[in-house]
Amino acid sequence: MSNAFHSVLDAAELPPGASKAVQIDGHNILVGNSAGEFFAVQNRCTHQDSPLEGGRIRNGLIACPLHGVMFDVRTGCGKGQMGRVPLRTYALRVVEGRIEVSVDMPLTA
Amino acid sequence: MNDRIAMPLIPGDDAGLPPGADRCPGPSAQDIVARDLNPPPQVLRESRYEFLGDGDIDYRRYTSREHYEQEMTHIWAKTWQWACREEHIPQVGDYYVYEVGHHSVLVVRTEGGIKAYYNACLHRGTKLRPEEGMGSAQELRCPFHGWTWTLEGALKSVPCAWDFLHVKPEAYRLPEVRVGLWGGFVFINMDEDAPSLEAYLEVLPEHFRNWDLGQRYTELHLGKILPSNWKTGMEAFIEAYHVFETHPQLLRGTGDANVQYDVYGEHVARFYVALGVSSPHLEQPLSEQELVDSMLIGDRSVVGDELVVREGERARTVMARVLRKVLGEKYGTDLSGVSDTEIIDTIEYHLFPNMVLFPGVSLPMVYRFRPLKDDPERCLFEILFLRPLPQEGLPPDPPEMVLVSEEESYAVVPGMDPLLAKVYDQDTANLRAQQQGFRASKKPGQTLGNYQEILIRHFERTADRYLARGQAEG
Ligand code: FES
Ligand code: FES
Ligand SMILES: [Fe+2]
Repeated sequence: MSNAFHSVLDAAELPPGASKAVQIDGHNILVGNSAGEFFAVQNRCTHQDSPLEGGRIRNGLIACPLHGVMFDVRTGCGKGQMGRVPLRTYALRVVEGRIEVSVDMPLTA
Repeated sequence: MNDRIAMPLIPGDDAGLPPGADRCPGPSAQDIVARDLNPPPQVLRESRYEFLGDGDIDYRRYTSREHYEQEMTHIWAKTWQWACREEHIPQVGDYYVYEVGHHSVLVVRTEGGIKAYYNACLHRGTKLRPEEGMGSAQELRCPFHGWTWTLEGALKSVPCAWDFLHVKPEAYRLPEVRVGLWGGFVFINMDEDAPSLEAYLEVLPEHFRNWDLGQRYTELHLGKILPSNWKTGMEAFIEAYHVFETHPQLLRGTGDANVQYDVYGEHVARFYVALGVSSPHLEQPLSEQELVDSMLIGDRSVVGDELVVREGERARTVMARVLRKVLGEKYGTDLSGVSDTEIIDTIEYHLFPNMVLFPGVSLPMVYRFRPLKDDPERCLFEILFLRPLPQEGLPPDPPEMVLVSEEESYAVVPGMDPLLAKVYDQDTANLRAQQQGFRASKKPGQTLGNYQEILIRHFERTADRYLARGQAEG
């Protein structure tokens, strides 16, 4: 499937600070809400592979629950020496209250 | 020079006064604030200067590695230091890593309150959290082999536990660092025998009784790497003598040479600057309207055309009235009971070893100066702006620190007033030259003004006392 957005969740299911893992075409993706702004990133920390689901989201950063490396949820960039490798980010949109994620759309900034 | 105020150009004649007794001619800070429409609180009506000697201060304390190591042991491991703000760790599991030189402390919010631990794994030493700053976790898991502690510091799991039967969990609790809370700040102290935070703070809690910094939030947080010893950096901020040469633009609106300097106990000192007046150095004192137009208020963008001085009014009155209104509205807080001086002036307290606090409203900063890793000639200077908590609704999350490089202007920081950024740029532009001059100098130490540089002398005296005590204990 190309350029397709997949409907994954009701936006209402994801209050600020919450995150939820979803599977799309074999991609393990974390959809989250950072102070009202939705994001989608790979749900596997680039440090030592922990799922990121449930990590505290604050200031536009998600903290990995395992060793605490923080990643910018918009750009995927990690902080510090253990966060050198960025997370993959996915295009996301909200259509009529549903969150939709695309696994193959290039992200436009 | 102001032609009404005679000032000699060459020092040397004590005119029969005891050392430290001489003051800038003309009105004092106390004279200026005594005429305010809304008069200052009692703590700002007192002055407490003490002559503490006039010998030179040896440059080696700013350059020598040996001295630096002594400070690490006898000052940084012995004193109460502000590690973070409580709002940095609002929820259980939130933590903040505080580092000073090679020391690293992990401050954690737990169910049972705030705790702090030495930030090093009990297996093979790895820092449990690698870098300074905020984070969040439900347990403390070492990134090397995965030994894990609860937030309360109890050993929770060890991979391949069969191989560590000699590890008794009771003996492998994370060692704690003492924690104290005051004014919304989380302080730590690595010395188990140190006095309580409350005793350490001396007069501060009393002075800040009506300036509850716990009722503020962090609006802005910046860090700047300075090419100097941490004391060199800090000492550029605890005197106003440099305003004349370093910040000539501030002479229009700052009572610089008539700043009041006070010393209290071992750990606390302050200086107090009346703004909205002409510098005693100015040849032509400004009109009240000119003063209002040029005084530094921390954020010029908030004031508009209301700044009109009416017949018979002082610049101070007008600025205080306008800021009381616009800042009260901007931050959703009631400033009606706050005096003019608390609104507009620079009220600066110094807490040993490295904290500078401004309880005022328009210049609401906190500074901290820290040695970086093992380099005696580099330090981190941080500025936080603490704004009043809104009476309704939640304050924004505390920002991550914005790091400004040595070459960059403070103006790159979003929300930084350009006029204030210029002042900070001027403040730190001379530091590299000063630090290098310490080494180039034939004269072995710096000479201090008896009055205007008393905070430096007071600070260095306390530093010496800590070092001497430490060395005496061996
Ligand atoms: S696996 Fe995410 S921080 Fe280590
Ligand atoms: S060093 Fe921490 S688990 Fe081995
Ligand atoms: Fe300055």
